[in-house]
Amino acid sequence: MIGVVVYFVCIYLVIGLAVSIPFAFIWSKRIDPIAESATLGFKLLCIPGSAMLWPYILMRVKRA
Amino acid sequence: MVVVRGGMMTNAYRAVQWNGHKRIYDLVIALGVTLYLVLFVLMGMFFFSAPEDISIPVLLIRALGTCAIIMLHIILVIGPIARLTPLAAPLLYNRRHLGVSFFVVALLHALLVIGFYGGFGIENPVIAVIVSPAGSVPYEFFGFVALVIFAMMAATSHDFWLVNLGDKWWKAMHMLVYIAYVLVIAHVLFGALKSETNLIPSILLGIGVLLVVSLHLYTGVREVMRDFTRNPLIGEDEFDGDWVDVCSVDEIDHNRAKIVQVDGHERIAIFRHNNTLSAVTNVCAHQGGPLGEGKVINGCITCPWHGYQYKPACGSSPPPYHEKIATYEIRVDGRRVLINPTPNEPGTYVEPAKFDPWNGDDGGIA
Repeated sequence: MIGVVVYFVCIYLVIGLAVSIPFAFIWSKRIDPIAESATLGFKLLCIPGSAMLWPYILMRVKRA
Repeated sequence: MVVVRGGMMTNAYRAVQWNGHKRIYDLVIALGVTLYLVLFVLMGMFFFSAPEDISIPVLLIRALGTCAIIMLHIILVIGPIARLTPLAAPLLYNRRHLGVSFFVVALLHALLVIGFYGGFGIENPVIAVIVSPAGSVPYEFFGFVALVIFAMMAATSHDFWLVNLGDKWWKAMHMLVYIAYVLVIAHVLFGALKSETNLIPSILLGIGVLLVVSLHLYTGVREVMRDFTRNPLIGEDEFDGDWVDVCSVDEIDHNRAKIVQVDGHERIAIFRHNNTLSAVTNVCAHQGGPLGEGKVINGCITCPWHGYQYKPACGSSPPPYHEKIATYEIRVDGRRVLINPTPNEPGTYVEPAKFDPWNGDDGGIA
């Protein structure tokens, strides 16, 4: 059971990573205009958070 | 929308908005962690001198684990201590950096454990470490879940997430730290301490838990008691039309505020500045800090938590920034302060109520 949870977390994060890179560099400015002038450091810092919250991120980007 | 990061307002997102205070804060963290790890390993090598006693990786695992637990306790007690004394406000100011540093230390501990105990086997190293033998307490899994929570908190610590997740969701997510704390304590109790014959680590952990629990309880009870005594709830019987008598002008110190709460409404901070009074919400737009415990600096209400600033009359941050908080209608009748507890739209200008500073209980010195 614990093994299943760990594998689920891993798969979730892999999908998250795939979503987070276009979000950090392209989509983030669609949900928050200030991100348009964000630094590269901020964009890289955005990746872990968006990888963990990717379902919410996709929903926000779709609505924007 | 303009974002303030650690008290410094900016028009653009950056990874970290450095300032002098933050540099010193982060330097202290880095030096403290390095010193602790080096001392722990050196002392461990001294006390366990025989090669079969303990290996360097195990010493490092223990050093990182204990360091992370100490940092977690410091993080958890900073909040309540800052409620007790303003002297702790500088610690609260940059607590997020301490939180992220703590996560890095905890992650290194986990990676070393996975590499040392689960590496080079036929099974997935994470699974090999996390899955406990049947019938035993899964303390490794407790640690794993806690680490996932800490990862989520560290990853969303930037103000971008605060702005885009919304204050309530962001705060709710970061309150998970208390669940993670319980998991960490269980992880240590059923893991490292189970086979430990020396009582000192258990006693130190007990002191830490007691400190965290008692400080939270004490400050929570104190807050409730203070509401009853210093800031009593003002009932509907005090109303005169839309207006309610909340306090005397003389109860408010210059450049400071009095926090009042009218039944059924949010707390309101009434600031006294240049012989005028202005009423704004007590909740800062940034992280919900208690504005009424701050003061007026350079003509702006300044939040005691992270230095967000608002003009008293309109509740707007000074240009070029755009944060706004709710304002309230206010007037002075003799020495009595009357407010309309229904909030205006954030950023609404309200003419400050003027009063005679030479006619007060304090002999007229405003």
